[in-house]
Amino acid sequence: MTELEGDRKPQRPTGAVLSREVLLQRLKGDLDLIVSPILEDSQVGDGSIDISLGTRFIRSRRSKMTKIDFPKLDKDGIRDFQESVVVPFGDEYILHPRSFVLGCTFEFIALPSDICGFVLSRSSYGRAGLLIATATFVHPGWRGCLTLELENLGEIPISLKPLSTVGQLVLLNASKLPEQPAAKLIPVGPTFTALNEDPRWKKIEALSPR
Amino acid sequence: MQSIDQKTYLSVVDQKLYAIRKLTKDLQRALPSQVSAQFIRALVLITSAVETFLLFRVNYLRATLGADPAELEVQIAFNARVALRILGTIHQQYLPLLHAGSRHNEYLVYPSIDRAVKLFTSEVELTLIPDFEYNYAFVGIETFALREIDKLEKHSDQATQAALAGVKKDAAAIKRWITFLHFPMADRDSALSLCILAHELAHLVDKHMGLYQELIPKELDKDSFERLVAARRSSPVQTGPGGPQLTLETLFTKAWVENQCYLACTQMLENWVREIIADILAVHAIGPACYFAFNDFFAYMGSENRSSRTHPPAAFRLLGMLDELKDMGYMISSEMVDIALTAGLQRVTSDATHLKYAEEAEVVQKTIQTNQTDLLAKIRKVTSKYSFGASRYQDSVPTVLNRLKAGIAPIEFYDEKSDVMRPASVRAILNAGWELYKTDLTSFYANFKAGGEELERLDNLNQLLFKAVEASEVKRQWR
Repeated sequence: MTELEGDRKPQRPTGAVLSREVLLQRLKGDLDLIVSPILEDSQVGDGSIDISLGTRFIRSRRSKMTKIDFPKLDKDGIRDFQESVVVPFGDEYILHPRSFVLGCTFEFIALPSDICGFVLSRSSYGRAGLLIATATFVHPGWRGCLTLELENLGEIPISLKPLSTVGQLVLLNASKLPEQPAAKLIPVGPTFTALNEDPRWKKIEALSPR
Repeated sequence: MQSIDQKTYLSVVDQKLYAIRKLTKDLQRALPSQVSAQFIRALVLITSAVETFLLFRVNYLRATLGADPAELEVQIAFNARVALRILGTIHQQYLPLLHAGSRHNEYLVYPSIDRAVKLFTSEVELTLIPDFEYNYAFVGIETFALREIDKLEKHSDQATQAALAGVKKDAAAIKRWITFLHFPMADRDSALSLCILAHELAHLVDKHMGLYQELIPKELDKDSFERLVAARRSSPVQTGPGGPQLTLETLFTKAWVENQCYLACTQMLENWVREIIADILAVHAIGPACYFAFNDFFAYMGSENRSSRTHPPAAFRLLGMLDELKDMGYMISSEMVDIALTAGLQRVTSDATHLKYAEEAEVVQKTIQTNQTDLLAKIRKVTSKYSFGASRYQDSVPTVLNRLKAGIAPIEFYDEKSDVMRPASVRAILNAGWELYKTDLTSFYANFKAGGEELERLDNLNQLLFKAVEASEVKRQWR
């Protein structure tokens, strides 16, 4: 048994979308499925829970860097071309056409070891040109606020307001993981790219003829 | 003849008005909407009052002193200087607060602080100010726009007063308290350290309710005061090399020395009593988190355990907080928090017994000691409704703590009785954070991959606490 497992889980086949009834039941568990806070009952539907935008963003800024060369970036180097901003409730972040910003879910999410998820854009926003996520899979056992990669593909600036419902988290039954995976850190806001830490870079470098 | 002519004065006032208005607008743009809105409104009204004042005064003076150009010159210059003094205050005292406010990003905790203050008064606007000085402070300006306009009115004729009446009416509609909570920039990302703000907010509650006026002991401790006066009278006076050996009693009467000692002691007594009131109010408001935060704050400050004119020594204050926690039902169980508090009490009691109070500090300490029971009884009357006693702690903190230990931001909980999800209380969140930090950080660190930096994980704990405070507040206020 893992720490995040409750005792009220009905047995379901892997890959099955969880019904509203099951989701509501499991959200009541102490250390089971957590998508918090649920501000309105209507957020929870059959198979998915609506997710909203948080207050923290990471935006790109102009810097002296000529390119992003991931293997050569150190931890602080990433902050040379990205900066954090907090947008208080009631304010807005204006995302201009073809601009990109990292946001996060307002909801804190913790998936037990037998549930995985997918992040989907809300179609109404999608039709206005807003894309909210590219890395859409959420692993069983994951904890934190999800980073959203927000991009305005349209021609008109879009106002991003904290707490607006921009997407949904589709939840499915998964094969049980043997134990709760350890985290590097538990994100509560958008996280800077960690591509510079990818061990593969060294192997790629080693293949260089020089 | 004046060295600076009236034309120069009037032109300088115009330039300063222009510059201040421009600065205010620029600073306002850097702030999120509604932050410091009342403060900015007050600044706009004061500048408008200054402009109206000078316009009407100059017209009046030209009409009445037209036949005496020299006197006209003097009077216009004088009135311009009155206006410039007020503009100077805006520039030097008020705009820096607005500028510092625009640098902060503590919007995560602001709604909770605002709600806590509004339990006592809705007539308040709060702004959080990060400082590079490592200090927490409360600055509360009461009806400040009206007071600045009053200064102008004192120098006004009837027509000017009538012209200022409109601005004054608008100024009266501004919230009574414009307050600024200063906190160290270094603590910006520490939800645990920001618990000190409860003490600063308690200063506002004290000021608003006028508690200290009622609670300050009316008489100083007689014996120690007489010793102080005797010591002062026989203290030597510096007379320079080769000068006569003089003491205060050879130069001043006993009554004069007594009076000076009395003034110094009563001022110090007021300062100390106000700190004690704020400490006790804060302990009742947020429970053990207040003691733990101050314990670390004093350590971070590297402060000597000495008394100052403004604050009692650290051990005196920590002991006061711990004694109050004991009275609130803590330190009688074998719970982790009680064990930590009991250990703290032993250390502080031992340290406090070695404290030496000299001169005015001795008089003040003894006066407070004599009146302590009465003082605490009166403060407890105010706190009884919201006190975060041991039973409330045990009802709310353990569930929050379990979530934190599992690396989960404790935002809301399922309430079986009412079948709804309820937001966690801010007090439970902060106390769970401190209990985890002080007693069981290892279990929290077990959530992370091996080899990471411990301080990064501690920072992560603070982020989880900020998230829980922010999101639980939204849940509470969601309509």
